[in-house]
Amino acid sequence: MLSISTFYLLKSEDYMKDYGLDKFHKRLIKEARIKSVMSGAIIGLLAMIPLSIIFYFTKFNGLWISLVVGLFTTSLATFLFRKYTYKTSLKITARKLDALGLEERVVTMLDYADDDHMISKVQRKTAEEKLVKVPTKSLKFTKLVKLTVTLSILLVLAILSLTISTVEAHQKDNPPIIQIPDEKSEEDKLIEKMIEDLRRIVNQANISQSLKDDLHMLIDDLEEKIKLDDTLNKKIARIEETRRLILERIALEQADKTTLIDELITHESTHELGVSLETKDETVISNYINELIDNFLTLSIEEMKSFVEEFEMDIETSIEDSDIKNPSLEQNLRDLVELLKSLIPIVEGDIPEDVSDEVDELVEDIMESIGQETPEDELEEDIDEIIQDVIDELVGDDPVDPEDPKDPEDPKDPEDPKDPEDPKDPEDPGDGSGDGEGDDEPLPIENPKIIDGQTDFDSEAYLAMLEQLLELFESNQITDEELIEMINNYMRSIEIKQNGENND
Amino acid sequence: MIKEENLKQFEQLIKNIFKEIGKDLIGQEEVVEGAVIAMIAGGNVLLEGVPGVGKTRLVRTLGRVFDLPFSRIQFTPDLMPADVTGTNIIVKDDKGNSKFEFQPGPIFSNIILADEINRATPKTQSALLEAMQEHTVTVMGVSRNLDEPFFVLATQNPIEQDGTYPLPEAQMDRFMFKLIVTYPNLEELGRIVNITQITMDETAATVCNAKQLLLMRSVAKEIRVANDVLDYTMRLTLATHPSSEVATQASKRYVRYGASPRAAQALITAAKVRALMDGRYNVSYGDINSLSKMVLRHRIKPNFEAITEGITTDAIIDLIIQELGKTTDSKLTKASLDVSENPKIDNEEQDEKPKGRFGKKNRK
Repeated sequence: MLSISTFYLLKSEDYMKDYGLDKFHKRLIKEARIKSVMSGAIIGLLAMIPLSIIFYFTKFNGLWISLVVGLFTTSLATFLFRKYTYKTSLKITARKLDALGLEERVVTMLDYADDDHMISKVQRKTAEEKLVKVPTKSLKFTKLVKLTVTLSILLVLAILSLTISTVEAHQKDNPPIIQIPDEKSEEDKLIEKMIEDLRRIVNQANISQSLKDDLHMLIDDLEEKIKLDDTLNKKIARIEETRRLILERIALEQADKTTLIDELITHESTHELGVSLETKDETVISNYINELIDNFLTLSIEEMKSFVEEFEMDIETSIEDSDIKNPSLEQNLRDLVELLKSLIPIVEGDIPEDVSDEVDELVEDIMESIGQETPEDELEEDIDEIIQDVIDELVGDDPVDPEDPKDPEDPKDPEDPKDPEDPKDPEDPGDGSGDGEGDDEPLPIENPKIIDGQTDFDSEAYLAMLEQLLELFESNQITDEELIEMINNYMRSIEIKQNGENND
Repeated sequence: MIKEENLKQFEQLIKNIFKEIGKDLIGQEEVVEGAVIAMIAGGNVLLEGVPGVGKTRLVRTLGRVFDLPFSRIQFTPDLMPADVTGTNIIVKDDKGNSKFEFQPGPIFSNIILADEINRATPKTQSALLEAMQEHTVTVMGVSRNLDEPFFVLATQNPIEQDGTYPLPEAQMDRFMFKLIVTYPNLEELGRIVNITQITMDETAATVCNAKQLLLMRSVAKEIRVANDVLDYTMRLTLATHPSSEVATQASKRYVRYGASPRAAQALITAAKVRALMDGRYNVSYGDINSLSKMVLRHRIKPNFEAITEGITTDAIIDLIIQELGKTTDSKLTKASLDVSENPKIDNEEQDEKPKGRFGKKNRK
């Protein structure tokens, strides 16, 4: 009898084709490969999971090690499974076919494939006849469900263990950053303050809510961009540019708004009052009010009532229609109406009281109301403060706080009574403020010159200069020393301006 | 030289043999098939059954169908070996000289019915040994060949054990099959009664002669056995030995002595005949398994534990087959080991298995 192993080595290919076994054999090879890969993957995952657990406890970031070990183990196990556990051969194929009910016809046929005896020939013939009737798919894949379930469970466990161990290791390598406000750098604090000031400008500006929202979005965008800037110069330049844009937007909207005085001018009875208030001249205003009272007293009671009624209505309409509110002026105008009402005699011929004091007091209040800083002025002051802070930070000197009474080096300390050069010294007879009221406060900076000490704050030249400055920042062509020098020029210009005005 | 036409002839003869036997014997398909297989394979059969179930009739029918001489030996305690084999007697020739002349006993026939063989003494029982194995009889130093085919069909009563001499293992091993003749069921009994009411005569016709029987034997010998099946047969035989390397848990637990190599030979020889009877030209695991009880049940000696627990040899064989599995696949063998915890076989489960040519329950 021919040796079985030799027989299969030499003849297996031929017999597969001759006896129609190749299709069954290929199916078994396919099944063996699938099972080998799945079993190999199970072994690989079983290797990865304990490794991940070890890495979890040691807090070692071994994700790649786990993956490499898993892949290597899977490959090796797949190879070994294929070679030893799920090996395929013609004999195995024949056995599986016989198990389908062929009653060992196929294995016998193969064992006696070279036997020329009549019985062997007849046996092969009957076996082939039976084999033809067997569909290929009757060789079912076995154990695939168990393997799939096991593999799925292990896959989930492996992913979980890998994720947990990796996160644990990552947290160890990169501990969570706790934001401690006190630990912010001086630079960050400065930038933050500048941003806050920008927001305060927007919040205090007398503009529509939609514009405020837009401007806040602009500031939000600015904050994001600032994070990307690597130098303080760039950050300041960007803030300065945004500030310019904000002011432009505010100014544009403000230009379309009307004041109470504008509205007063549009009404007949209050036209002259508006004109006088527009002059902001106390004498003109006082004269107008006195003249108004004199003329009012010449009227009959009915005319007085009629005039007062119309006058009051126009004032209230103006107050209502004005875009820019001025509550103190509104109250002053209402006081004026009440004053006029008080002058209406109860009986014809009654001599009215002398209201000259009330008129003077009213004029004074109106002047005070008119003299209040506009939102634009407040903005400019805020900006000046911010820039001053920036300058102080950059120069490295102590902040030059005009309101700091304890600053011994501040030559312009407005509250230092011993400062002989203090232009705002309340004892200074040369105070240009006239009546002396408001001398305790720092004078508002009107038309401040910026940077170069020459250019007006709101001029086009300033904007052009600012753009040039931004370009310098962006191109890094300006050094900190140059920046400090330019800012010092600006400071000097402010001092000169302030001193000049105070002297005046 | 076997020709293809011999296969067709075999098929036709088998068909006719069973058809004719079926005329005289109702039921007992497993016994009939076992007897026919043993006759074709050249083996002897031990029939175990109570009186009146058709043992003698079977032997007579076989003799008629195969056209073979038939002898019946009623074994009794006083039966002597010479009564079986024959003996030399003194006779005078024509010249008046005395001489010994061999007087053949009833064993000189083709089909021998050794009725109630366990009632004879072991000495007499052993007189059959040589005839059964060698198909020769030696008397006074002279060996005489028995005519072929030679077929011993012995019977024994399992319930009347008083005054009997159980067959020794050596003699039991000479029997290819031990067939259990059971009571007929209700339907079979009805048919038996009806037939015998018509006539007591045996109506089976002769369809095969001795020459044809020997030709069938030679054809069956050529049936191919795959190495896997051969290996399984060896394992099955060796697995009955509790001390063998392939012993199963059942054999280790319940078997005292296992089957001899003669059992493996009998299994393969009989399986070839059975395969050919089934129209196959190769032996299958099913052939081996279905014949295993016939071949092994009288060759396995159960131990005390099996006897006390009421475990029959048939049950032990079933357990061994279950543990070995249908194939020689080692994984299947291991997986089947857990089954042995409950060794008793569920008869209903056995009955559900596919039936053979005569509706037998033992073909897997």
